[in-house]
Amino acid sequence: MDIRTVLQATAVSQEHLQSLQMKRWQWSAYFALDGVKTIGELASRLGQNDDGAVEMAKMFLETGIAEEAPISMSGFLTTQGSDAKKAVETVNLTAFLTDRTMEDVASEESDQKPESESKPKPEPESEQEPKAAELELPLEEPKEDAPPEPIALSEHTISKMSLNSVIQFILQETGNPIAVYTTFLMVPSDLLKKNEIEHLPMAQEAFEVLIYDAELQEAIKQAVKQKLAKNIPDTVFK
Amino acid sequence: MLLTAEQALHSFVESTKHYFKKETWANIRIEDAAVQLQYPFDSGICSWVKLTGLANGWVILSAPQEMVEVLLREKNRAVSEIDCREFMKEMAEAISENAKKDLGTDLNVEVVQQDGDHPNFSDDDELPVFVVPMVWRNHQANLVMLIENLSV
Repeated sequence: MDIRTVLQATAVSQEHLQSLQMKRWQWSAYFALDGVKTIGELASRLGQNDDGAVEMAKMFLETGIAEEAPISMSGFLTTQGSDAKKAVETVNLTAFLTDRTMEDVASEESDQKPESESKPKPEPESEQEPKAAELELPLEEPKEDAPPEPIALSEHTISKMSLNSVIQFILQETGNPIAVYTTFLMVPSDLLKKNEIEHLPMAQEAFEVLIYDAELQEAIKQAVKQKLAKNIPDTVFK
Repeated sequence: MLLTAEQALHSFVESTKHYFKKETWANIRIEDAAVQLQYPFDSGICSWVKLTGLANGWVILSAPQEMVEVLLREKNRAVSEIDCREFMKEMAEAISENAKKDLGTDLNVEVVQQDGDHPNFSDDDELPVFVVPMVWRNHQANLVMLIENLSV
């Protein structure tokens, strides 16, 4: 367990809750569990360090008042920042370089199991003998006159839409925060929910929310176009 | 560019500010507005204003009972729960009347008089809302806009 763990409250009886003794900040954190914020975020907002966050989470789990919240890939990418972004780009690049789809790569990665589970053990008598095919593989010298094709990374990198930038664009255009609300009324709620967006970051200093889901990006683009009669600017894409 | 429907809705915010300044001689502080994708769990007293026309939906004024009691005491009025509910309706009527001056004829407003004449949303309902927190003497009230559909 680490500070990126996300917990959600479980359905427990009032009697069980009342029987527990916790520090004030831990109760505050418990009532703020929403299945979205990491334990690190919660503890940090309550003035606690990482160790405090982990200790708190262990206690929540041990007492059964919380459980680890599952998270979808898109939700993870929306909330976990640059590490997740790199992970996706790696999968994407792997797919591109090997001429396979992202789904193929993801599927193959998920299918990878420990060798003992996925492959039958070799027969004892052949265990020490290398396979013929391995011995006969010729080592090819790289051909200097045939440089590899340049990789058009930009075409194969997932574009990320900054939700904060979209909101600031609407505010700049309208000068009215209610326009942000009415614009997002045109975006299907289930798409926002699927991407684990529960509120819109209206303040300029709000934590940046990046959207990787192409369907949600398109819905937001269409809503902005319909509301403002303007295309969303390229600057909202990172 | 200011959009007509949004401008009309914004008049409720201005009208609420005006109400508090006029009735209590104290400014109300408007905090950062928020768009939430879930109806906020509400523990205060609410008054409901039905919107029809340019926008169909609700404007909900909610305030903690302690805040309403303070307002009532300043007016030397009784502070039972029924009094508090009645006063919230009066407040919603005053704010709506004031807002109407800016609304024109395209947006109709009507304060709901009876509990049960408005939908009972809970925190489980996934309804995008626009929440304007308003702080008056350390009490926080909310002006919540819940638009079901809008004429663009």
